[in-house]
Amino acid sequence: MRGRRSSRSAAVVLAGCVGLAVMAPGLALAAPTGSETNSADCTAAGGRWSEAENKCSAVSSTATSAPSASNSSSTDDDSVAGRSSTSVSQNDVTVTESNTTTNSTTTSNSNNTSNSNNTSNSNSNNTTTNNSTTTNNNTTTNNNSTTTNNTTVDIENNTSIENNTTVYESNYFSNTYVFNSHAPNAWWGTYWRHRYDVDCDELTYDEANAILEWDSSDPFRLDRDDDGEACEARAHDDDDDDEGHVEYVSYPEGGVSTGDGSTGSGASAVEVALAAGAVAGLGATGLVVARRSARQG
Amino acid sequence: MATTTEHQSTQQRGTARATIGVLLVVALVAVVAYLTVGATSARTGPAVADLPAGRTEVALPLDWAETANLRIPSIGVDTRQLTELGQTEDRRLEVPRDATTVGHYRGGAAPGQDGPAVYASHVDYGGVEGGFARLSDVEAGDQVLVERTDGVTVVYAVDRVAEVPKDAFPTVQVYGATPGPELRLITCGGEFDADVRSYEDNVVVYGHAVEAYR
Repeated sequence: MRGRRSSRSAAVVLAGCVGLAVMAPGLALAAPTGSETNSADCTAAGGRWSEAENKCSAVSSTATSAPSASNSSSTDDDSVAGRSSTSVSQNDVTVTESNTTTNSTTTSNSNNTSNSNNTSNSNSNNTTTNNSTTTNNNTTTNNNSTTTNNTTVDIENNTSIENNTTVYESNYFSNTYVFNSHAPNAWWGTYWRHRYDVDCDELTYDEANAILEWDSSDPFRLDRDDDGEACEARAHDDDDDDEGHVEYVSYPEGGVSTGDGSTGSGASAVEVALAAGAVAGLGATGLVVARRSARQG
Repeated sequence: MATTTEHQSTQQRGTARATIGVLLVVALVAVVAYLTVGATSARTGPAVADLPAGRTEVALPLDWAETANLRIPSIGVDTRQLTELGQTEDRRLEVPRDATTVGHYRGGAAPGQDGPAVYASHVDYGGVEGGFARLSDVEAGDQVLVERTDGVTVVYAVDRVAEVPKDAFPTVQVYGATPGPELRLITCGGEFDADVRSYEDNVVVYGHAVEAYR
């Protein structure tokens, strides 16, 4: 076991080094020019902003720009919907190994300059804390994830999802998934739609609305009428006071039972004619009886 | 003596005939009166109601609101005894639990909304004359006024009255989508089948909204 861990660690370090080596040529393109006047510009230029010196300086050789997953060298597209771009300066790379049940993980101890690199772990003991990630040569999967430096996580590239993440147990699905707590909603929408698809049949009303609240972009179209309420049709599934009542989408069937014949109000003309005939018959019978009695008398 | 006896007998015969004749006349008058009074008493009011002069018109169609009052002036219906109806487990339209309550089908349109606002009430129930006992006497052109809980009153004009067999109920015509706010009033009609304790037909009044005001 120990040997496996050692060899795995070595493999991770080797993969990281290879990744850095591949990315290194691109770093020069992102070197700061010295004209940067604030931290954001400096970071965007791939430098490190020194508050004490109030200047931007080039970072060590491991610092990189943030390539997009589409392999663009652009680094200033944080505002583009669907992308979570991180610019991270990283000096020391420490590869450790956590004890996880599903992942063999790599942790990079980076010098974060962006909030998006902050990580947390709310899921007991499984920790995946890659600060930054993923380029073409650094495919991060659930297993044996490797570490490089700064990355742009692209919505198209789901291999980088598990990096830069908050891990927690989802209430809506049976498994544990790893979430990027800082990615924009649109990014998450695409991610979830790509990996999962749920609809109102699979969720309770509360679950559906919790998802909608969590991601108002409504990636699963749970709120098709865009009224801010998901899966309305299931709203009263659990209501006891609706017992006995059934909601159907289709029309009612057949005629309507709105009478029990208990009054004469429903008498038809035929019924009236029959009644009149009966009266007339009684009268005629009476007449005959009277005549006979008169003759006998 | 014999002549006196014959005379008395003739008088008795004449009296009996007169009595029978009177009885027959009374019976015929009663039948005619029943038919005549029955025919005229169903329509107890004007076909068109006097709408308030100072009313403020409200544009149609309207949003959802429940019904507060339903009036059919021509047959004297004016009730706030209303309920909401759904469907039974065998997918039939629920009906009010008493004779006089008028039910609104909540699966249809609200009064003034696009689509048919469907109301149903008994023609009779439990020995009591129902809320729509005289519905078959409604005629085309009659007004039906539905006041909503938001204070808006929708005025409908009756287009036609149909008596349809229950086993060939025009489901789509009654419940189906319409281009604007419409009205359907339903009760029982036709012959009463004592074997199944049900009327064979339904009376359906079709109408459309002509205006709304508050």
